[in-house]
Amino acid sequence: MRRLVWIADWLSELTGKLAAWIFFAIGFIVTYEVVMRYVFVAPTIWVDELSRIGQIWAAYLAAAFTLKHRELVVIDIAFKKQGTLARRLAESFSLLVIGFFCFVTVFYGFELWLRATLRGHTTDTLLALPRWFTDASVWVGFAVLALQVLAELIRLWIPSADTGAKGQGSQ
Amino acid sequence: MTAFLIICGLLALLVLRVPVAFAMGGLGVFLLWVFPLPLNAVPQRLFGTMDSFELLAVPMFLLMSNVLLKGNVGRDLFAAVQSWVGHWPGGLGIATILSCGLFSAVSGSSVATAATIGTVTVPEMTERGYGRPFVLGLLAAGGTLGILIPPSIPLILYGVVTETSIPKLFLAGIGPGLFLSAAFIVYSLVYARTGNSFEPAPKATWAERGRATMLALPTIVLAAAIIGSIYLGIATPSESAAIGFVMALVITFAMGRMTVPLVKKAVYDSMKTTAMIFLIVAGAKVFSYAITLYRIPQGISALLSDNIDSAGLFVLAVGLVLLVVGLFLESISMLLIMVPVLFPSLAAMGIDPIWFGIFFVVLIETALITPPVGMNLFIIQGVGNASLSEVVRGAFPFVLILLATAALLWFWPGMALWIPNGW
Repeated sequence: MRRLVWIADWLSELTGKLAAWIFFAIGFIVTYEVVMRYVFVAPTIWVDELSRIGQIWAAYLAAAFTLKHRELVVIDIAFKKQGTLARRLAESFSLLVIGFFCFVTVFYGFELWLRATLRGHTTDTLLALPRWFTDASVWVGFAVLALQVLAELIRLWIPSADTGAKGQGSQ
Repeated sequence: MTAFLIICGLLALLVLRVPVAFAMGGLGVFLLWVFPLPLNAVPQRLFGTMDSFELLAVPMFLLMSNVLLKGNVGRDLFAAVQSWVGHWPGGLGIATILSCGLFSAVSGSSVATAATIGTVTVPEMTERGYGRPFVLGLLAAGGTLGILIPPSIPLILYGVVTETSIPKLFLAGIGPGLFLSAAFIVYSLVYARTGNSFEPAPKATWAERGRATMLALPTIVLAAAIIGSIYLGIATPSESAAIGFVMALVITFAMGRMTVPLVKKAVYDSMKTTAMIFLIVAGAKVFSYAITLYRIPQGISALLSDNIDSAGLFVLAVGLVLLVVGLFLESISMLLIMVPVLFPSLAAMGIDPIWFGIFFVVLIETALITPPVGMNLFIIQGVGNASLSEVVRGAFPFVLILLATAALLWFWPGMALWIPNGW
């Protein structure tokens, strides 16, 4: 259990930080595009698509990190007292809803990805990027989130499994 | 009946502490499954939602404001404005609102504006004898200007969801943003004249004013460059946000205010906020897809147009609903839950979507400073080390000012529309 929690935490940190630097890089390539277009009158064909694909990857890769660090917006009007059984049951229910959403997304996302990959689909743009790369963003991000959901459930009910790497604060 | 059950289901999930993003997304998936419809629409919607260049403005503006926040520009802005008006009666209050207005022009977030300016001004104003509830309320309200004065993250999201022109929305936010700033300043002056004992800041010399203004100048130039590049057609809002982020890095490094650890912190902080917003956007997309299949927005639109025959009554009803919803929902969630439901009714009522976007944002501003869920109240409570009741008490007059502005917007739509229509 401890090992699983540790792996989930480590993976969420890794994917979250990767997502952060993807957004950082997008800022620079978009600026590069504006400079090329207005200063050198030489617009690129790759910035628009790569920044959009980067955004999809980053948005979903960061999902597990936000759960781990309790950055998701929760309406805090009931079950406020931490540590009570009612609060733990509410949190478990909440994690199960997230898990259900992840399951549907990963299951159907993987199916779509597999079909596109086996058929060698590409994006219908000038770059013609392989769809195995673009479509993987959704199910990979939610698979990491599903693992973090499992870690949070374990942490909630088996405190001894906590590796001490839990995020700070809550909304 | 279906609409009632769906609303109850959503409320139940929210009360049970399901994060807003997954309450909407989970309920959306459940509704699709019950319909029944193939669930492979879910990953397709999630992919399509993020596959938007317009949405890129959100992480870029967040990166820019986080870099500026870490570079301590809030202090520069306040020092510059204070050097000019701080010695007037109520001058520090005026300086606070002007600083909030200036920071709003480089940040699309009310929370960032309240936190940045609040950190600097709460100690300064309380030391000089201003009443704590007034100071805390002023900052909570001043922070809300961050989402009305362009750039604005809620206006970007409104534009993306409703396919309304984001540059036009930004232009429409300027008039009401300036009006609200002026109204807050007038309230500060009235507060100062009503005999509260506080000590004005000493009058700055011309040399001090020059020095303080020079330090704030790069941020003011940055704000002008962002808005200018959009309206001169040089860049789209997303591109101008990216340029703003790179310029913010250059400025803060050039001023010796930025270090690699601070850049890392700014990058990670903006990623957290971006992911939080984007997950709500994604969940809302799945939810709105599902409720559209159930014809809920169309049903509500028909119900409203059958029972309410005047646009004024419709706006009043929507305003009251948003006021109640805003007591419990955080701003982005409020926008992404309510807009897809209400938007189809606008055409039938002959309401301008740009005007409605601004009206909605003014009500979001009110929601930000009304308990029990008001993000700016919580931020200022933390920054000012105060009790929530102290902040709520101080914010109450500003709630009234915001509501009066929302009402005035109805009677004088030109306040929002004269700039975009005249451009």
